Amino acid sequence: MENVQTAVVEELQQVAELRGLSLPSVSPRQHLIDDLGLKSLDLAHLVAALERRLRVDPFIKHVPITQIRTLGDLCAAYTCALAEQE
Amino acid sequence: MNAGQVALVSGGSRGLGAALVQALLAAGWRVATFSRQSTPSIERCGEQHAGSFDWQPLDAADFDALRGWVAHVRDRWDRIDALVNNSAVSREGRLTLQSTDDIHTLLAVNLESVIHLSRAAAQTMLNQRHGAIVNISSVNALRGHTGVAVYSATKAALDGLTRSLARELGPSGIRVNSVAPGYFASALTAGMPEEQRKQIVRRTPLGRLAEAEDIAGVVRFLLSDEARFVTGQTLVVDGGLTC
Repeated sequence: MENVQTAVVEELQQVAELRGLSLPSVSPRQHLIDDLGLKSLDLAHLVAALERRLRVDPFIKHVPITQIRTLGDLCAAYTCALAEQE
Repeated sequence: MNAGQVALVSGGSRGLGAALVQALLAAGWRVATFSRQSTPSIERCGEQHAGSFDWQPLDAADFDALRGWVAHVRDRWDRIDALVNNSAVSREGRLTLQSTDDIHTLLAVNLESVIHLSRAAAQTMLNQRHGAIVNISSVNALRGHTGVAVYSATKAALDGLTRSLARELGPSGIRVNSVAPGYFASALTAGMPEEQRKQIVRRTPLGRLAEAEDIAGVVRFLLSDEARFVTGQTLVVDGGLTC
């Protein structure tokens, strides 16, 4: 199984690059909006990319997107969703 | 030509859905559709367009199955360029006499299934930064008629969904429009009394009911590059009935 944090960070960097955002380093405690500068559309792109890569969408049934504040929250949501799938 | 582009059409087994499927296949699209049962139209498409046509048996009210269907098409053809939300049911009757089952079915098939299909297809389109969605609405969304209150509500809701989704997805290169057909010969109008049919024709400036191909042509336009600057709109195709 692919490492969730690796997948999330790589897709995040792709989304940031397309938007012209600079992300020199990321950590799980960073807020997606306040610290990393993501907008809701960026989050939609990120979730779509992760759905394609990890074959799971935690926000269909498991977790309200409004509970996701930090990069760590996002990684945890995917980890839980993948664990439930197995 | 749209060689290689992939269109999903819900409810493509008969009537307008079948016409939409055939029109898009003829225009070079790869087309995936579903219905509860196969039909002669589905079988002909499978024979004549093997490799470019995919049909699955599905119930539009099974939202998990709908999400699975979208994933199946994406996995088979690696892209989704268009979604046509055509699948619909009609349960005519005055509201005060309508059963809760009928109300639930109308909302589930005509509105909720559209929302779930659009959510699923839009995720693939977001990855592509490209796509087009067409929702099949109705003149009943624009004008009131006795006996179709809940049906009208579901179709008016599609137009609202169209406008907001167009705003939401436009920045990602995805266009969303709806087509509001007037009355045309279909399973949904099969029970219409002849006098009512004649009255509609008299009130239509172009002097006839629509044919499925009239609607399919407009949908094909909205999915094409010729409509590249059209989004958030409801195109009424009714021979002038509501003008």
